[in-house]
Amino acid sequence: MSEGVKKVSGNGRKMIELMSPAGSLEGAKLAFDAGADIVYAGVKNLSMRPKRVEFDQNLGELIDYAHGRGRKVYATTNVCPKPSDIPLFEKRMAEVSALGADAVIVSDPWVMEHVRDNYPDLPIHASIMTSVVNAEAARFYKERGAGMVVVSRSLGDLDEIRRIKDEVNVDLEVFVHGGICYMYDGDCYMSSYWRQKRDFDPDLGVFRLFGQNNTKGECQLICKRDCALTADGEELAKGRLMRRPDDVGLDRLPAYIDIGVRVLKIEGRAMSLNYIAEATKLYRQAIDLYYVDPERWTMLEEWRPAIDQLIEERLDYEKTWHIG
Amino acid sequence: MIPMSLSIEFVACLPNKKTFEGVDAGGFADIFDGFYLGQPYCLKSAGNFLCNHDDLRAVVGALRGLGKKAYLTTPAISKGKDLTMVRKAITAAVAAGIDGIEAHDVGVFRILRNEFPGVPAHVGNFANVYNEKTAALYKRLGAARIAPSNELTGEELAIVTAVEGVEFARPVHGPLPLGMAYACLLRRAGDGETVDPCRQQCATEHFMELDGWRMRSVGTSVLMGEDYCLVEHLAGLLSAGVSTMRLETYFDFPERITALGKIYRRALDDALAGRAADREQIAAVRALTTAGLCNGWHFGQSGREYVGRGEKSVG
Repeated sequence: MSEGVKKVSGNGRKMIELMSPAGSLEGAKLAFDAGADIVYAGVKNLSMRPKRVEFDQNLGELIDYAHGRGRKVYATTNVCPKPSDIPLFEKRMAEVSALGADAVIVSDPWVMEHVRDNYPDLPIHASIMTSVVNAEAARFYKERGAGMVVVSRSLGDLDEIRRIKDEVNVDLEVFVHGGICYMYDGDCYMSSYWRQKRDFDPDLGVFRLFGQNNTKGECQLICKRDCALTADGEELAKGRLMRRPDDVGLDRLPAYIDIGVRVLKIEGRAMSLNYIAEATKLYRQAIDLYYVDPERWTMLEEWRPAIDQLIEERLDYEKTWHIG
Repeated sequence: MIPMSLSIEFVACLPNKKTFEGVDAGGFADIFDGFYLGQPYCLKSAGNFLCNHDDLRAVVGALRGLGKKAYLTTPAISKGKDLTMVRKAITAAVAAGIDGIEAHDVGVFRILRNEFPGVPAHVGNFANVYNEKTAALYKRLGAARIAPSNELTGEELAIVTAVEGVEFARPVHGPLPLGMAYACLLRRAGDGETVDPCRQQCATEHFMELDGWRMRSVGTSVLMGEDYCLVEHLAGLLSAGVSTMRLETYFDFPERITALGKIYRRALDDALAGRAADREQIAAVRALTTAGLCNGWHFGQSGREYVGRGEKSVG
């Protein structure tokens, strides 16, 4: 386990950590260069993103690279295993533990207990896919072994996040920037309703189902598409009705720090290298400035062009993103 | 082969007292074994048992008087600020003699086990039980009944239901949920300026049309565009060990609930007697829908397709 290099600010306060997405080794290096304390990286076939942005043999290389610089890697294994996936999960958890990942991000409670019971030195984080929106749910996952809980992106209520932190002795992680789903994470089945197919998976050497968001991480971005709302044959509204604006949580930074949130997380493992680097730079600067003078910290106008550029890039990405 | 020990229940879902009264007027004694009460998608839905506890107590009492089972469902998503109401609803249901309470949110499940340990806890489909290990975990934590993920195929379901000592439920008809939205789309589509009160909007069937296919919108949730239908495949569910067959009728009219109930009750009796489903049953179900039929992910297909005996189609 490594210790991050930016743990304590100049005035002695424990600093909030910044976590960036890693869709490739190159992306992870850029994120670290831009100031990320941690990157999260998908484990092959087990994470909620396309296979092309997951790590396989190179996960160990990433972990070694990060640890060599005092940074951390959280291994993302947050799909829900179906019965046939159980052996694969057991195998991968052993590998992730042996590689020395700093934590494993999980959504299924059995997987949590499996890690807790078999790899006690591997910290467990309850994934965004658990949709934690209340303190009782955070307690449930803590009892399964989670030391960190990622609160739902749809919670949107700082008081509720504070209540979870105050009532449950567990670290919290929040998504602070990036794309955001129309549905509660982990409770969306639109992709597989639209399209699912049984096909040969050369990676696993078996036939399996593709197009399942909850179980296989192959979201089809249904909520980002054009649609029409109709009733009795009449069109009531048209457009990207389910699309939510990108989350830009810079202005919430002081509140998150005040609440005691441990990690701020940038979304976007499938985004470009430039996107990851620029988003990381932006939030790194904001965090560092906060700790220099918390009382006078404010949103800077000079950040606006960078924010606009990030939003623009995501819109372009959504227009072209198709996996099947 | 149907397991000898299987105690079968055929149930439907009722959001409010008005719907119960309609179903009661049509007569359900020979059709349903019980009901799940409450609407889990929106607390603001008209007359929702979850917020109308006098209605809840009255209907639980009525069902018990008739020798039928009464279960309470709880919100699919329960924010912390909603838990006070959830606790009140559970307390009212328990006082009225409820037979079990369904939790979709693991926080609500934890409340049930810790604060109401004497009440059978059911794990709802939004809890995402996808495998036998997770089912066994919930059993160990005290679950009496589990509704595994609707995304499981029939073959996968049979692996999960092999876990002993806990009952398993499966929807057999109705538009299944495709997700819980962070906000009401029916209000959002009009930039929050709804012409009608929101409950009036919910009374109208809304569709989300997407490039040749569609889903239903009920505001805070998106449902299948077609009606999920397993009327031809009940024998397979029984063989798999599914003991609770459920009509997902949160948005149905009482007359249709009764009509569907009659068809499925006969199909279930046939399946229990070893008789194959007949063409009349599927035709009768088709006659009751204008939205088309699908059977979700049961056969590993796209959820909106329909796989019947010797046929596969969309809608």
